[in-house]
Amino acid sequence: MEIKFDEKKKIAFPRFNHYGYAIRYLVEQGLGAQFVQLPPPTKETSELGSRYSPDYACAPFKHTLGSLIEAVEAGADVLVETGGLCRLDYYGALQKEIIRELGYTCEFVNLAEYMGGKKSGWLKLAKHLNPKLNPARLMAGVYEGVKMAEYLDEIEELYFKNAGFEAEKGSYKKVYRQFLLEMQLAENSQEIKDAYQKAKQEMSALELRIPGNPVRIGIVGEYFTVMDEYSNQFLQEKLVGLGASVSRFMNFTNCHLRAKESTLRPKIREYARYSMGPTTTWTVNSALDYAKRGYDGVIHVKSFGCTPETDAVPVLQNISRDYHIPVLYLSYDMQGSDTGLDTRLEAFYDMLERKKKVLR
Amino acid sequence: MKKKAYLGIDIGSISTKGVIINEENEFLAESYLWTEGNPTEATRQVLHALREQLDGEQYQIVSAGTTGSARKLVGSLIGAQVVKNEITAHAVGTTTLHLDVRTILEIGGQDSKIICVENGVAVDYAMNTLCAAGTGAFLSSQAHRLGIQVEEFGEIALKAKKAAPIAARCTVFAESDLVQKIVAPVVFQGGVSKNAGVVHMFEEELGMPVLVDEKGHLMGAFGIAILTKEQRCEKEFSFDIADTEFKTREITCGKCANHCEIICVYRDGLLIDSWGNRCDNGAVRQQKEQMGK
Amino acid sequence: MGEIHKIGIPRGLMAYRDGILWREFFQQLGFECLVSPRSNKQFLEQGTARAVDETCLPFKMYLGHVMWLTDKCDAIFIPRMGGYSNREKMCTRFEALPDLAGNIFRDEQIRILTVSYDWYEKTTEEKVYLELGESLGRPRKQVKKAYAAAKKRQDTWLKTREKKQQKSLDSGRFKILLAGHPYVLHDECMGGELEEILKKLDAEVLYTDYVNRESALKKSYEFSKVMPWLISREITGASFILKKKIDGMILVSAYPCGTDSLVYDMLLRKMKELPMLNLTLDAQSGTAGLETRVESFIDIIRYQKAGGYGNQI
Repeated sequence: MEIKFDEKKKIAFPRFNHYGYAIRYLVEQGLGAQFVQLPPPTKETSELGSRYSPDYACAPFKHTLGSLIEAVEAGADVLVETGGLCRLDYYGALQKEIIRELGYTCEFVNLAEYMGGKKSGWLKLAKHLNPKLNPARLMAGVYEGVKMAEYLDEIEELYFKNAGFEAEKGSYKKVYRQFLLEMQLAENSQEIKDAYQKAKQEMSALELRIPGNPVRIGIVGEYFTVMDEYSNQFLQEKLVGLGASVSRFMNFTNCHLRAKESTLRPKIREYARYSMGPTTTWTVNSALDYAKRGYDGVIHVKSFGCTPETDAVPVLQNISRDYHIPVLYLSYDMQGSDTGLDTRLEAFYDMLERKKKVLR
Repeated sequence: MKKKAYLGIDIGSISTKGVIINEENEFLAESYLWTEGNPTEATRQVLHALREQLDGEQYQIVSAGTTGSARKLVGSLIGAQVVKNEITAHAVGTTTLHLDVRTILEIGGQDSKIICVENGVAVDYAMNTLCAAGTGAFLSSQAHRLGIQVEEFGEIALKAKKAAPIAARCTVFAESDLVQKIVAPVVFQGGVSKNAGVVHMFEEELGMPVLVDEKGHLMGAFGIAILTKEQRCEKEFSFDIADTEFKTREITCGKCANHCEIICVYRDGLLIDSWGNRCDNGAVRQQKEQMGK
Repeated sequence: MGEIHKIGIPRGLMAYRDGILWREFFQQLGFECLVSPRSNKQFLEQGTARAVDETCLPFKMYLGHVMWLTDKCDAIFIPRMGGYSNREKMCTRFEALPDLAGNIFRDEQIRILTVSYDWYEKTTEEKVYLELGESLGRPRKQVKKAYAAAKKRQDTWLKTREKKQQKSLDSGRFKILLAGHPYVLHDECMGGELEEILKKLDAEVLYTDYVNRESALKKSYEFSKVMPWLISREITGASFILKKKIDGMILVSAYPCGTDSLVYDMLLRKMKELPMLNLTLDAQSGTAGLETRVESFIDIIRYQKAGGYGNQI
């Protein structure tokens, strides 16, 4: 007789920065299924993704495919891919086919099929993933998972704003790591809230040595690459290491919960009459905002060949001219070398710092 | 008491450059030679050449800096106080010599850069990242294939009646926004600036004179020497370092699938530095220190 | 700003699909229309100089066309097309087009005339063009008539192409289908060269955009329910309709194309029975390289059909 230890389905999502913790919470606490928590990605993840992807697919396609293959190897029963407003909307369909052709028999859920559809469709999907679904529990899980994502964004923002000036080296990182660990382990809303408040308090209690006029850099760009640390080769961490205060407007909270495209667009009227693509308005708006607020520089991040973000570049060039703010353009493919990025970032930081000293 | 002097070394992929300057930014000694894939040996040679030129009775080097692609390695070998990227070093060096410069074009062995300057300080820059077409390495290999010396290349190019079309997709100058930003006066430097043909093409394309400094190839080393001077973190530098035994070793970390290549630097058999690890698991130096305790 | 008399239409991007409609519409409203000439290398060079490096070849070419028109007319028609429904969208570059041109040619201060529609607005082509006509100061009745006439003109043009393709299909000749975005297939400097090469090789050339649009669109849902792009639907739908009637297919893409990069990969996976060549054109491909690749592809099909080398005529 076969012994079943656990009948719950093991569900996996592609890695996406630390949002995996919020998704895990939603899956385990809300949906009542099991979540496949992947270890941090490695070079092997990228290699797997690149090997089985079309050559000209964008880097996020390759990164997420690499994650999904690792997840199915780790025992996932159901792979989930999301949809979106660019090529992302077709990721799922093609990745499903690629994974089939590789011979894996796991189930594949393409959320693009449900997006923009009826609520009943989503509920049906949830019931399929867990036949013993408790709908009230699901609603609470979704709400609390979203709340966790908001907290993750807030603490992350705080970390990159100040970590460059910590008096004791590594003190910010220590609090931040502990917070991320607690988010991974949280099983109810109280635990989420407690961990968040603790991290916030501890961070604000840490001693900072902020120079008189610190170099402030704003990060803008493509949804996935700009948020996913591994994809952008820990860009923000590197800048903090150089001693900059780093801000990134684009995150889950600001993109999905707070700022709507239609409310942001009037702010960039001088540069764009219409929506220029999925997240282009966010990119242009935050670059303009950084310029107006006197930031020293802007870094534009995207994967190589990303159409909507490439189309934001001429607008950023105009903003750079109008406000005299340097913009560094980073385009990521899968073969990025750390040395190359380090040199460019260091030069950018040095330039901003020297410019401040001389031109003040 | 001896007067203070400052050492700057620029270790590029193709050539290694060294200068010593005094408090007034005047050149006291300079050296330029091929790296030939061996930055440690090239640095040793450069240091020997500089030692011969420097009046040791009058001057004492009080701080040293390194720049260029092997800056980290050589920096830890000679115990440099300042280790900085070549873009900053070039901007600093050039703006010191040419106070009114607005645009710096720099084409070296592996990359091309453009640095925009306002009021004597860099305000924007860009460099090629994906492809080395048109750089020194490309010109050398083409010269080699044609069986001529790369030094003769420029003169021969000037005799051409027609320009040969070359794919321009990867060079930084193909990017429209930068061409618009080029404002006179323009200074062109780096090894490729020694090629008269390239200088001529730049002048024709830009429609403005392009200045090539006779010390243009030393600007990186000069800039890092100035940065070293500004830093005011002094420690007597001894040329004896040029006679010490250095060894570097590459190891592949096997602690996760990242397989980071870690570079370990040894002086007289002792590990003095290591880098290349993406996480703490591969921090060779720290672990050795801890084991020693 | 002065009154508009002459409207410029860049012969690039969607002009290869809807240009007839645009021109006829404006002319019916009493405007003079100037369409830029056929693409040439100089347009591409000029456009490339103004474009961001990573943008696609057809967009760079398009900018060259816009530049040619700049000082020759009062306004340039640069439509903003988001698509009319959720699973029939356009590549995001078409959403950005007027603002993109506006930012790139900011110093030139070109006057841009546009229509704008998005898939989530649930609008129709007719509504969009009625608004445009009225915004140009023409009475609603005249605009309605102009749109109807333009639509008719376009239909006639489409029917002619369908008939021409039917004749090719009925011929007993060796048939190669060129699949791709219309602005790649029919541009002088892109697909145009390909057509020449194939004709020299004595092949009958068919096009995915010569297939009836409605039938192609309908058929495409058999290929994929979720695929979000209209033009990719017309390409895949047409390929499915024609797959049994052709000897081989060339998937033509212009570097770098976001939609093609994924859709062509899927097509190659789903239509394994048909000989297919995935061809990416870039500014450097050059005719000689193209010839070699196409010729060897045709050779392979012909030799296979003949059952081996030496068996061919």
